[in-house]
Amino acid sequence: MAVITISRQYGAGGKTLGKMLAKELGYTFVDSNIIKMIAKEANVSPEWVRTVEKDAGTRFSKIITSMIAKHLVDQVLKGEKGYIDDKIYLDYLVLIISKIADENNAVILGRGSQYILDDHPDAFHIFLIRELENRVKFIKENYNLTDQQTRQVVNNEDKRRLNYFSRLGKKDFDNPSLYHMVLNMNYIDINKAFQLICTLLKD
Amino acid sequence: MKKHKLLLIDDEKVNVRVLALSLKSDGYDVITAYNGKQGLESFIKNSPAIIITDIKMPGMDGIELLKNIKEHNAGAEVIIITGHGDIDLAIKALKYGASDFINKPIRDEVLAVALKRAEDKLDIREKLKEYTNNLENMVKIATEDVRRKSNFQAKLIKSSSEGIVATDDKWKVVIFNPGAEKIFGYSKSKIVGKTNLKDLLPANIRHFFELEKKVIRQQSFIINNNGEQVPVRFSGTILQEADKMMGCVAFFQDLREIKQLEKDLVHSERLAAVGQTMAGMAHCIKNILHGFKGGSYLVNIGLDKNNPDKLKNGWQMVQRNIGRISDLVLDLLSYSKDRTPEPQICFPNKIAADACELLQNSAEEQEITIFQDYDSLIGEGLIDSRMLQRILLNLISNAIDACIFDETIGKSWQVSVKTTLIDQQMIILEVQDNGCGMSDEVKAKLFSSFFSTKGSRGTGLGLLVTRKLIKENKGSIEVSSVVGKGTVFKVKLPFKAGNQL
Amino acid sequence: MGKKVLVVDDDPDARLFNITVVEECNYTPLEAADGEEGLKLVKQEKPDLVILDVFMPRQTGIRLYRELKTDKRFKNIHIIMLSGIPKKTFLRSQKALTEFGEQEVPEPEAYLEKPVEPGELMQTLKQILE
Repeated sequence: MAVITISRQYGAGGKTLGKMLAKELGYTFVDSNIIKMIAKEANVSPEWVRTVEKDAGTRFSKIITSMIAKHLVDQVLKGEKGYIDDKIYLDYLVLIISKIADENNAVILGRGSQYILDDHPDAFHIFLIRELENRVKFIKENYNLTDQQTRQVVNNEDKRRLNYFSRLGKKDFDNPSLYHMVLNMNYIDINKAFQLICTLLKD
Repeated sequence: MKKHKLLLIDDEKVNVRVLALSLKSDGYDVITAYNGKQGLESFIKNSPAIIITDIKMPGMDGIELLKNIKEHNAGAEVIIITGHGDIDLAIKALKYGASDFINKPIRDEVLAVALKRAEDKLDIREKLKEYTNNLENMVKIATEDVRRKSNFQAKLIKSSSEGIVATDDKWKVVIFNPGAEKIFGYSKSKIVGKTNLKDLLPANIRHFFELEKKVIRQQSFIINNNGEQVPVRFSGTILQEADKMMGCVAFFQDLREIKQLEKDLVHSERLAAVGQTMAGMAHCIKNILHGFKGGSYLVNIGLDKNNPDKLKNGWQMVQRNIGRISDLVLDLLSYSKDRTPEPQICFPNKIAADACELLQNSAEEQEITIFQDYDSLIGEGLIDSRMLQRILLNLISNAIDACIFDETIGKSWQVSVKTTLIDQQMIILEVQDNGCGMSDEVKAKLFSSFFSTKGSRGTGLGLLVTRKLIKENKGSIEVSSVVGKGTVFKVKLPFKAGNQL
Repeated sequence: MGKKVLVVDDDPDARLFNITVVEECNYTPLEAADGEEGLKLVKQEKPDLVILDVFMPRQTGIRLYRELKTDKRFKNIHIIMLSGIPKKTFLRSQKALTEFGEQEVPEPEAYLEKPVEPGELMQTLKQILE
C-alpha cells in the first residue's frame, strides 16, 4: 500500500522508472493519462485540457483568461457542454490526484503531486536529478531525435516546468527536504534506482 | 565548343606562319614545328588532338612522323598535306592511320571540312570512351552489389528465426537453416542432401503446395523429431522455369512462442484494464447506489402518501440505475472472461437498424442525424447476433459522443452506419462520424487503456469489450481518424449467408 | 414560506432524490446541474443551505465551496457536501489549493458520502437549519 510520486527534470528517466515501478508492483501509473481523466470529469475533449495545461501560467493564457469573460466563451460554445480554464484545470487536477492517492497503489509522475500529497500518510516522494548533457543523451536515445531537436525539446520542457510551478506559486521544487529520496541519475542507473525505491517501500 | 589543340608542321616556314594565323583566328590553339623531329617532340610534350603535317620534309618525313605519332597515341587525328601527284604517298598515309589528306595549295573550305571531320571523330571517340568507362563502373557496382546481396542473403538465411528450407528439382533439401533445425529438431547434416522436403510437410499443406505451386502464410502443424506437433505458419513457392520445376523454397514460422506471448499479453492487458477501471469505478458505483437509494425512497413516499407521480419517478429512477449497474457488470464480465461466440441465424441489417433506433433519441437530442446504408445483398445468415448488437451499440454511441465533443460551431453532425457484403463470406461494418476526431496519441491508446468520454456513466471498457468480441469472432477492427474531421471504425466479420448453410 | 435549499449535482437522479428529501422536510428546493449555475442561483435566490456535489462539469463543487466560504456576502449560507468522493480526498484537494496560493477555507460543517440514507440527509438538514 503506497503512493509514489516521481518529480524530475525532463530526461532524467522518470517516466521509464515510473512505468517500471507500476508494472512490477501492479500499481496504477498516472502520467499524461490524467488529461483524459480531467477531460472526462470536466466533460470536455482531451485536446482542450492539453491546451490549457500546456499554456498554464504563460502570459498568453493569462491575457486570454483576463480578456475574455467566461460568458462570452459560453456563447461561442453554446451551453450544455463542459468548460475548462486554468483555474478549473487546477481544481480537477488536485481532486483527481487526491482521489487516486486515496484509492492507493499508484505511481504518479510530476504535475505537482509532491505538493498535493505532501502530508499523505502512504506517500513516498522521489526526486530524480541529472545533468543537462546526460538528459539530452537519454532523450536522444529513447525518442530517436537529432541532437538539435533534443536540445530544443529539453530546453522547452525545462521552461515549461518552471512556468507550471511558478503558476502554482512554487519555486522550491528542487529543494531536497520535500522528498523522501533524491536520486542522482548521473551515477545511478534505472535498475539501481528501481531497487532503491523498492527497498524504501519495504516497511 | 572549345576548339582542340592543334600541331602544325611544315618545313616551309612561310606556309606555317600563314596557316597558323588563319587557324588561330578560327579559335584553335596552334603549336608549330618546322621538321619531323621537332614535330614529334612537340607532339609528345603538348599532346595535341589534331596534327596537320606536310608529307615531304627533310629528315623525318610526314609518313615517318605519322607512324611515330600513332605509336604514341592511336587516337590522335593526323591530317596530311600533299602536293600534286603525291597520290601514292597519300594512300600510304591513309593506310598508316592518317585521318585525311588535303592538297596543296591549301584551300580554306577543304581544310575546314577535314578539320570538322577530325573533330567529329574525336568527339565520338571521347563519348565512346566515357560510355565504356561508365559501363565498366556499372558492371563493377553491379558485381559488388550482387556479391553483397548474396552475402546478405546467406547471412539472412542463417540468422533468420524463421525456418528456411530450399530444395533442388527433385525436392531434395539443399538448404536447411538454423531456424529450421530449431523447429524440426533435426541437425542440418542429417537433412541436407538426404531428405525429401515432402516428407517434412504436413499432408494437407503438401497436397496444396504441389497443386498450387504457391502457399502463403498457411497455419498448420509439423511433426518434429520427438514426434511433437509444432504450430507453424507456412509459406512456400515452387520455382519454375519454362514449366519445369527448378526447386522450391519453404518458410516455416515457429508459432509456439508467439502463441504464448499473445496469450500472456491479452491476459495482462485485461487484468491491468480491469484493475485500473475498478479504481476509477468506485465513484461510479457509489453514484449508482445513491440512485437506487433515491429511487426506493421516492417509491416509498409515493406508496405512503398515495402519490402516483412520486411513485412513477422513483420507479423510473430505480430502473435507470438497474440499467447503469447492469451495463457496468456486463462490460466487466464480458471483458474479464472468455466468451465463446454464439452464431445464430439472423438478419444483420435488421440488428444494425435496431441499434440505430435504440440510439435515435439521444442522437436527436444533440441534433445529430444518423444515416443508414445497408447492403441489400446481406440477407439472413449465420453470425453471433449478440456480439453484433453489442459492438454496434458501442461504436454508434461512441460516434455520437465524438459529435457531442466537437467544438466546431454550426456544423451539421452526422453519424453513418453502413454494411457491405464481401465475397459472400465477410461483412464490413462502417461507423463514421464527422465529430471531433482523435489525435494519433489518443488513437494509439484507444484499445489499450482505460478510456471514457461518457462522464460518470462510462466504464471505460466499451472499446476494449468491442475489440475482444470481434477478436473472439475472428474478425478485425480498424480505425482512422482526423482531428476536427471525424472518425471511421471499420469492422470485418466472417458471415455465412443463408443460402450457403 | 419554508427555508430555501439549493441542490447542486450533475446527476439528475441524485438531484431528484435530494430535492424529494428537501420537500419532505418542508423546505423549498432549488436545483442546479453544475457549479456555475449553482453560483448564479446562490446570488439570485440567497438560499439558506446548499447541498453540494464535488465532481461536476463546468465548475467543480470544490470551487463553489471555496467561493461561498471566501465571499462575505455568502457567509451565512450553510453547506452540506454530498458526494461519492470521500471527505479526506475533498479536504486534501482544498488544502492543496491553499498550498498553491489560494485563501484558506474552513472544513464543511457537514460531509455526507454517497450513497446516503434519506433519513441521514433529512436529519442533517434539520439539525443545521433548526
